[in-house]
Amino acid sequence: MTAPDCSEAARLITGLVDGELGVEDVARVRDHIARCDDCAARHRMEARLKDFLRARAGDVRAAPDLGVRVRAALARVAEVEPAEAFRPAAAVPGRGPARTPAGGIFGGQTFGERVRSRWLPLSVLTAALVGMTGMWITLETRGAGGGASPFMEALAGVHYAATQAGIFQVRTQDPEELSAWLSDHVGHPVTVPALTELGLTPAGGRVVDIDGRHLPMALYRDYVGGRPDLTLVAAGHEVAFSPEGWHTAQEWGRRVHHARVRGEDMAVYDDGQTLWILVSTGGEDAMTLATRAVADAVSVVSADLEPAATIR
Amino acid sequence: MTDAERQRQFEKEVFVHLDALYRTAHRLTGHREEAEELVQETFLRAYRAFDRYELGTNARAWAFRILRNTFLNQVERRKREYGAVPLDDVEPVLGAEDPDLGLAPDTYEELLGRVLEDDVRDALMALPEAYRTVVVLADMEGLAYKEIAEIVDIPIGTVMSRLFRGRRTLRRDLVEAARRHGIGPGAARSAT
Repeated sequence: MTAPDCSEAARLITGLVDGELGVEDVARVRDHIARCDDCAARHRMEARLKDFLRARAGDVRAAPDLGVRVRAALARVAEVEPAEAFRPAAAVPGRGPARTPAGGIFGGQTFGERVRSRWLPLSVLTAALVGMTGMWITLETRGAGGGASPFMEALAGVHYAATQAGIFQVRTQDPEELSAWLSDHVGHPVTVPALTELGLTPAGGRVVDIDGRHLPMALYRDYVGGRPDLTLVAAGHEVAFSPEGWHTAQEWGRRVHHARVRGEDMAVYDDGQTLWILVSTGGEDAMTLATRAVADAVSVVSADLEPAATIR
Repeated sequence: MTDAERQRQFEKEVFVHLDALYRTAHRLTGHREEAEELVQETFLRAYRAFDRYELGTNARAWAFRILRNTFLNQVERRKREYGAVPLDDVEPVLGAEDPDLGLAPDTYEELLGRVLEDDVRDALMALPEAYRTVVVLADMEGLAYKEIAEIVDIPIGTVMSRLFRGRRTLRRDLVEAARRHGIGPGAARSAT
């Protein structure tokens, strides 16, 4: 048993105060404290500080109704009807209810059946992807271009132009109104999700031209009230995720995934606030670049490129 | 498991930690409204992800982990919006010197007695997040190193060293604040 010096003892004192040291370290540090006035003072002051903080912990208390409010918010999300939440594809003339592939996360049920039969908002969120007639593409300014593909570059350009001026062609917080406006202006049905449970509110939208396609763009504000998020709703795609793919992306929001949707490679990234989906039309290499571009854009610590998670 | 059972499970495993999560949220953000927003968001996320939670494992650590990640996400967002300096880049000034070591026990006690709630808040908020979180979890919520390590995703040794540095900075700031509240400077500095 070697005797600790003061700098080692000071660190051990922290563990001693917290009751986290092994028997041998306790003996060593106690032995040192008995012979060292400074470390005795360190020990006394640190232990007293811990007591003090513990005693002051109760100075902040949750408002009596916080539990009620949180429960209400959970209930709203759990019981929300799809018609109110996202206007499923069935509500759009000329389209049947969206069905996911058998064995998908909704087990072949319709969107509505599934949402009604489950209370997990995760389903609602995912259902928004499945049920709406398009996919979302959300981009950050930084590093989004990356030269990944003409599509990506065009997106970055649009984003830049949109953030400079005239970002909105229509301003509304009502997702139904926004859906109607976008549908009129792109010539096909568009369903804009409310995304309330993600803390986002629709702010307005515009039509953008990418790759020769007119794409509807819905813009959201987050509850922090900062810049609008940019969301593209591109028609003609149904998006489905395997449970594994979804959950891994969901888990702690720190991963980028590769998904294949109707033959299109996509990077899927969830930062915990917004689901970011990036489409690449350039095949595997462009896919990798696009994934990296997303990773750069959103400051991901580690980007894992996984095998295709979605089969379609 | 039926939906009703699942909801009951969520109540039993997660909702019971509401008060502790709120206290921690308040200590992390320094504001009541932000803390309430953070708690609300944490519960929504936990609710969504409850499928992923393995029953019988540590629900409290799981919920705190979601809280902290949600908090960091918000901080990240604000950094991007306002260009603030990332918290972890600001290392606390922690020299080898420990200027208050010579304080007489009575003086130290008297100083702590003068510390106001606002002082506690300011001192905690002055700590970089990495330190603030472990101090709040260990000292205010009384969590063990193992649980904190799980929540913050760092090794147990790092929990201890962050506590060591965090507490020292906190003590210095609290003592300074208490001195500003009017205890005689002579008395406060007598033993240094």
